[in-house]
Amino acid sequence: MRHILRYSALLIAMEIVFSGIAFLLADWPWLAVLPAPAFIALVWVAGASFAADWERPRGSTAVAAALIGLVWQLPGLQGSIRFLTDEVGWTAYDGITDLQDFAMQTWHTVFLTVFSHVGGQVGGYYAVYYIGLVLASPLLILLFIGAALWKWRRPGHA
Amino acid sequence: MRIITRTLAWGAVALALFIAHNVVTMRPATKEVWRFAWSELQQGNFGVGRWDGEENDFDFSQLEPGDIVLGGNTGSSWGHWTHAALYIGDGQVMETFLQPGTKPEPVGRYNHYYSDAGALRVKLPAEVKQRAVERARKLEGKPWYMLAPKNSPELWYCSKVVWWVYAQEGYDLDPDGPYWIVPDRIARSPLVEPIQPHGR
Repeated sequence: MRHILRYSALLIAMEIVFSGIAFLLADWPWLAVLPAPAFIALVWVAGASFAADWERPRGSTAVAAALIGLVWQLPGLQGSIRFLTDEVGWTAYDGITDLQDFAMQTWHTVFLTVFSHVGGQVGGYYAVYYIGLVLASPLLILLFIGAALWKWRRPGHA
Repeated sequence: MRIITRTLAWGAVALALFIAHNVVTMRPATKEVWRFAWSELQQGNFGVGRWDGEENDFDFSQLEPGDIVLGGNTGSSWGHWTHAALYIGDGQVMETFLQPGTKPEPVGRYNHYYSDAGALRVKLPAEVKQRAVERARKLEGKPWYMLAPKNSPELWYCSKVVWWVYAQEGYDLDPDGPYWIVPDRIARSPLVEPIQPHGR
């Protein structure tokens, strides 16, 4: 449990700091692209580092990594879930919807400065960057789990 | 692990310096925006405001390219006017929202989604306004971002689009303005005048 909380806190701090750096670089659009790949690389390193610290069977490693991912990506994931439930008609637009989207977008500022270079629309209404924000949380969780399992399968790992 | 914690520590220091610098050098106009937001928050008003379903009857037929269109709902955190856009001709405005990003939309929607609407004419030559319209058209597809810095050429919100296209022509609609260019401050600019009394 201690490992799960520790890595969740670390990843949350990473996302806040890297989003802050991307924000500070926003006046220089091509420079502001750099924090995103650095952040992705560090998520991979964090995933591998977690697996090295977590001496349990493979299934347990995946579940624990997924749990960390869920805690870490809560601000973004709530926006992704809202988007899905809205699309399938389970929820409707209301006053809180915008705030949920604001939270998701602010959380993923580190990627927004990359997505801003991609124009275009999806389905005639949504901007490509918005769909990128919706997908970012699930993909980051998968990246973290993938890095943990990759490390777990390497020879020499307990 | 060490590389992560060191990177985080340096990043946190940079962010702390940025925040401290902004607090120390905060302009009076920025304080005004924060004070307004705080007073609204105390009344339970937070965010983009509430559309009560009541439409307005503002007449947009007199618009010319380069005019500024405003929409307002009650209970917003940043003023009477909650949204702004640039009229680009042919019944369309260039505006930006979070989900679709920056794109042309029919001006008629301002009669349906806002309980109040208005329009401003910029007191500048027609050729300047036409160039501002051309600049706005080039922003299509760019993202909406609530915290967009004033000088970032990639991140936008509604009133920043309006302000920026004229600022690039050398006319600042909010010269002493704060970090955020809120629609109310554009409405008070000495460079604009109302086209007609607003909708309600």
